[in-house]
Amino acid sequence: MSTKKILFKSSDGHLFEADEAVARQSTTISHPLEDCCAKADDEFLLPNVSGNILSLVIEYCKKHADVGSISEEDLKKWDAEFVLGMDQPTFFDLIRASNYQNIPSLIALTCQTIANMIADPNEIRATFEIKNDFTPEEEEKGHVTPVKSR
Amino acid sequence: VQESFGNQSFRMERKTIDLEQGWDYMQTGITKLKRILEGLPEPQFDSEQYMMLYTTIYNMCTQKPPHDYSQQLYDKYREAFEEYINSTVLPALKEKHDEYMLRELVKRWSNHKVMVRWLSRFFYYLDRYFIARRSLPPLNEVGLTCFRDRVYNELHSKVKDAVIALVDKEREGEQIDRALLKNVLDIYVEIGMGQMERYEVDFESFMLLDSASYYSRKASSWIQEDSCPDYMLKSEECLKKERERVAHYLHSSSEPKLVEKVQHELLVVYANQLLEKEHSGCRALLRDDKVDDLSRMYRLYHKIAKGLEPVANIFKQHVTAEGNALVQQAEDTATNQAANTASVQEQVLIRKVIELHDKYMVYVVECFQNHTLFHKALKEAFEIFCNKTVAGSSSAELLATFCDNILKKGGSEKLSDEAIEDTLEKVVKLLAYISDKDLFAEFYRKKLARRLLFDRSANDDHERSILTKLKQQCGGQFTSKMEGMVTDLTLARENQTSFEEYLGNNPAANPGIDLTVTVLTTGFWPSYKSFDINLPSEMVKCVEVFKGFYETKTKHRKLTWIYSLGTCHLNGKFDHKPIELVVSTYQAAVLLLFNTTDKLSYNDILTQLNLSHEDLVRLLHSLSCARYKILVKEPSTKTVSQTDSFEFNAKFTDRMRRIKIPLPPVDERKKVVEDVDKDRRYAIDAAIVRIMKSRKVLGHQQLVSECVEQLSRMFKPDIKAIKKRMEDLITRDYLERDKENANMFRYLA
Repeated sequence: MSTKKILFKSSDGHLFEADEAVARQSTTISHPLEDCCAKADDEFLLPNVSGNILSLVIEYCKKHADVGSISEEDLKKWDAEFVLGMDQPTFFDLIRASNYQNIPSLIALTCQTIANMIADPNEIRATFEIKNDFTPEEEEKGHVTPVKSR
Repeated sequence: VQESFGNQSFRMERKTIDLEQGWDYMQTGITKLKRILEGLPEPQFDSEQYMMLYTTIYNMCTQKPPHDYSQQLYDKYREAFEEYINSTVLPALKEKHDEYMLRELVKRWSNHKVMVRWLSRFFYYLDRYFIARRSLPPLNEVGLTCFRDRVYNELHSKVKDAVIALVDKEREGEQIDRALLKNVLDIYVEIGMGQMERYEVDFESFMLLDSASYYSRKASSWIQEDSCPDYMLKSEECLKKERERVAHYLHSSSEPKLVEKVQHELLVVYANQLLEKEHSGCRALLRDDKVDDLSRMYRLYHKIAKGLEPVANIFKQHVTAEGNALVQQAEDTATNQAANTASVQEQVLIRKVIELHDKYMVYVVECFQNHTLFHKALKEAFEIFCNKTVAGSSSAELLATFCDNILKKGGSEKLSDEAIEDTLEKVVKLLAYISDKDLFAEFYRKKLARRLLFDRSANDDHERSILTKLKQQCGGQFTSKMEGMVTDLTLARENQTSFEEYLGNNPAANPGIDLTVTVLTTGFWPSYKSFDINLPSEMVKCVEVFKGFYETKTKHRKLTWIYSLGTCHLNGKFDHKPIELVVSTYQAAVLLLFNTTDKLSYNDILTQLNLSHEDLVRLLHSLSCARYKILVKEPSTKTVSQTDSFEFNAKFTDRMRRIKIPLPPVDERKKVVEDVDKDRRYAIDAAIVRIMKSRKVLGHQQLVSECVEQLSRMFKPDIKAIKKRMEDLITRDYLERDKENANMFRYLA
């Protein structure tokens, strides 16, 4: 395995370094790598991702690059802890960044986390600050089927 | 994940990119790409440019409506290709021809693929959600479809013509750029996008037509000019070259189709003319033992449906002709020469037939790769001439005589043990071709009996060995009697020992003459005619003594004495010196009469011995008119007549101390044929009854044909004989004719 190091530059100018294996989890990075656009010491500019979010992404990718060294169970534990305690704005930025960089496992993790949050319509409204626009009759009839958390 | 959650305020604000602005930026990237493809001096994309282009598309697709430009960008992606093709690619192609056009096409296609790859990377975000949501073709497909619709559809016919022209050029021996053709044909395949249809319809079908007509022209001139072997060599070479062609640049799926066309034009259309060529065709090759050419012929026609049938046919005709020639040769020699040499010729014939079989079996195995068609041809050929009669002897008889010669002491063949085993093996194989196997069995049995009874068998192991082989080939029933005969001899020896013991213990019973008796089990041995004779008293005593002994061993068995097979050793007290005479029992009976009387007339002898005229004449002839004149005949004419008289020839002498006086052999052939015919009648009866018992009702034709089939293992039944037996069975109430339909038969239980 090559231990070529990739340099990332966030939108706000911060530089980060990671192994190639870490970087390749994102097709947005892996595509240009394949097409030989990266020379040694080349920096990958990520204009859509700020520094603090990028460091989170890299942290996640580093953990998920070492497939052999950690058990599936432990990895799941780590993932849960990773998203726990993140404030909402950061969390939504993370979702966006994972989509932009196209990191499938991170997209899945973040979407699942949201799905888990959505348990109850009132909770949704509270969480996402949405006004209740159902009439009492509609509410009784139960227009919204509660989404079961997985 | 679409980015439109409620009214969240995002940490990061992105400026909205408007379509024209965004597209202008993308256009710079596209132009750069085009410059690179055109070979203009243009540096490669670096990672920053790459990311910016990707990001621009991403942003324009994730902006909030009405600035979500996914559809427009999808359309502009296609338009980019269309524009490039119309302005640059097509013109460049249209101005070129033939090989230059092909080169240009390969280049343009390669460039196009690069362009698709790069642009789809930049526009990648569309591939992730937009196309699935709207069920649209992915970017890759859009790109390829552009090329197909605008370039390929325009040019494929012209391209096909250019390719075929080069193929024909190569066929004529010129060097062509094979890699170029491979690249061009790869386009046909790739443009099909998973289907082979474009390749097959736009190129292959034409190529096949052209190839067919090319080879049709070649074949029509070669067939006139070339000999069969040369034509075949050329054909083989052509097929090889065409296969190479496929390997080098045609698609592999073309191979069977192309080969089939070439084969058809070269080998199928002219098959008849080729094989029947007068001085070099199949017949001539067989005649001249051209093994290599015949092997080639097999290889070429083997893959063609029904291609081998005419070859096998000619092979069969050739072998039949050779076989018939051998038979004719033997027949001619036999009619031109005396009896003894004729039989030698017959033995020579069997040898030659064996050699012929060996020779052509090698052909079947090696030239014709053990193919069933040729095994069948060889078999049918042999079945034709192996059933011909030579100088009055059937092949069954010839074969049996041949075996007898090998197995008897002092036979005409002097061979090593191994050679004998080998020959016996081959003889048994020949038997398979003879339809009258039962006739062979009977002749063989008769001769075996002679060998066993007169101690003329050379080697016990060989005798058993051939019986084993016959059993393997024809079944246990075929050899059961023969095996019984061999066993009888072993038992007879044991029996003789017991008899001698018996005589030792009962001196009063001793007949005074050394007596050896061989007891035969009736069912196993051939039936022997044995005429009754008044035995001399000494012999009568022998018979009685043995009967007494035999009853102590087994009761309830009847002994029938076959004097015609007996041998006697007499001490002839001649004037000059005593000579031991080895004669048949009958001859001994005649000679012993002269112990009491010196001279006897024909009639005396006749009365005393109680024989028929025919038999007596034979006996007296052997003793008085043949080589050894033990009796003097008066008058000394060459043949015996009823008015002759005979006297003991005291003056007889010979330099040997023991001589054998043979009786002329009775023609066994007639008897054998009679016996076999009788057995066949029983066999046919049994077969008819067996069939009718299981079928109950059967039509005439079918009954006859089933009968023939069942009996075919042993002999080929005569249809008339079958009909006769059927009538006989009707009179014996085994069958009846149906009242309404005379052609239907019913079984009567």
